[in-house]
Amino acid sequence: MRADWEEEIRQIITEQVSSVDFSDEDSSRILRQIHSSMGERRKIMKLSKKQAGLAAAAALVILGSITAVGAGRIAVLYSHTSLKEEVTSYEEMKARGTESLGKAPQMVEEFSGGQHFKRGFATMIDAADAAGQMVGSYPEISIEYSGAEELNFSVSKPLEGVGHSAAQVTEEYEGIVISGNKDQYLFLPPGEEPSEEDKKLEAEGRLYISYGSTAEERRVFTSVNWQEDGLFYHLYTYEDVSLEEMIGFAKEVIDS
Amino acid sequence: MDNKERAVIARMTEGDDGAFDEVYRSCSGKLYRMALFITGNRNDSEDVLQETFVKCYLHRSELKDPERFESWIYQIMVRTAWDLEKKKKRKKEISYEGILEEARESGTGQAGRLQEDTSRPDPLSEILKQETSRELAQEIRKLDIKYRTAILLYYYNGLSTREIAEVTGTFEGTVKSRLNKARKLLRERLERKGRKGSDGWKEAVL
Repeated sequence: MRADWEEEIRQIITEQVSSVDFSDEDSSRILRQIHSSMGERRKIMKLSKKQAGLAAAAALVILGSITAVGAGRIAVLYSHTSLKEEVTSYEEMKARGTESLGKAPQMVEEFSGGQHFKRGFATMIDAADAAGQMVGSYPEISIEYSGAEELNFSVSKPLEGVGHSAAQVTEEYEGIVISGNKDQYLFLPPGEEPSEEDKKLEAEGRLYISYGSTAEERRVFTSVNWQEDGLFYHLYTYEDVSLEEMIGFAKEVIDS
Repeated sequence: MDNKERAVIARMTEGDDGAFDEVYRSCSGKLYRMALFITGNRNDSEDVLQETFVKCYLHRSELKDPERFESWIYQIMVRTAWDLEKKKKRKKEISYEGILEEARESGTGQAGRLQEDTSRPDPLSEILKQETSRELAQEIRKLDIKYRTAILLYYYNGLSTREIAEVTGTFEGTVKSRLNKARKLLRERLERKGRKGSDGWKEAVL
């Protein structure tokens, strides 16, 4: 008696579950999403574990500083970094940067603080407006430096018409204006809502909120940026490095 | 699990990205179907599948024994699906579309088709069985997600109550209780509709 019931319910559930269509196209599409997500998530995890700012955060910082592109406002930046595309040789990264950006970017293998080239990526950044409409895309290279502190460096060929918000500190060097900022960032897991206080700080431009981390995390983000020869340079860190030191490192890149 | 599967999983845990893709391709279909049964709609089950494999990738080095891969990945998938359900509940976004409609659309058990299929020995009992299946699916969607998970792992995956306890992170007694409660609820609801199984939907006791 019991066996009949067991068998019947087993059969019905098995038929229901097995009958669901899951095509090769579905499988491949989801795998592509996983690949894309893995790259971003791994970077975010590294942020938590090693207290370093990496390429995923670069997109946030650019987003925080971009004011407008053409007629439409950029609301989201998507990076397509694949971990399989990491470059571990400095010379190769330089060559990839030249190929990707259309001209040789200024870069250094090691900063005077002892932070040395660790690895890099050449990627495309897609920009979308608040309605999810693609505004455009542009190439970017991002590089991680390790040492006493972990530094992150990116060079991009920004979209025409991109404007940047006012900097907290500026310094002119060799005719180039270096802008510096020290900002508070809040990383939240997907689906988590920021507190009212954080929303208020965000509205005032005193806090940047990002979603996608595995746990809530607050970080101070120090960055410098400048433009030279049509390329936009960003050097940033989540570690304890002063703005003055960062401006010094920026000068080393400009001198390279 | 054969030697080849074990070797691929071992390579994945050692950081081989190609092996990770291979593992995904070998079990994504089954996990997707399981996630659909638990969550009840395609969008959520795709999200659960994606999140499950992202977690699998990020924590792959923590899987020390390839033999334990199946229960390990089930554990991740079930937890991910439960978390999603919790978030949706908070946002009051419950939407169990049910796999019944999908099964019907995909053609399994359609009364019309069965009637045309003269190779089947007893079309009437097949139709009744399909009707029972449809009603059972309707009742399953009303079950709590933890009951749905228990009956899925027990009947579809063939896990023991001890293994289900491990996957769901609960006591074996809780699993037994959930299974019995799920059966009882299903039986009562189907009986209320005048539907009876081959043996009057007797409740099984584990």
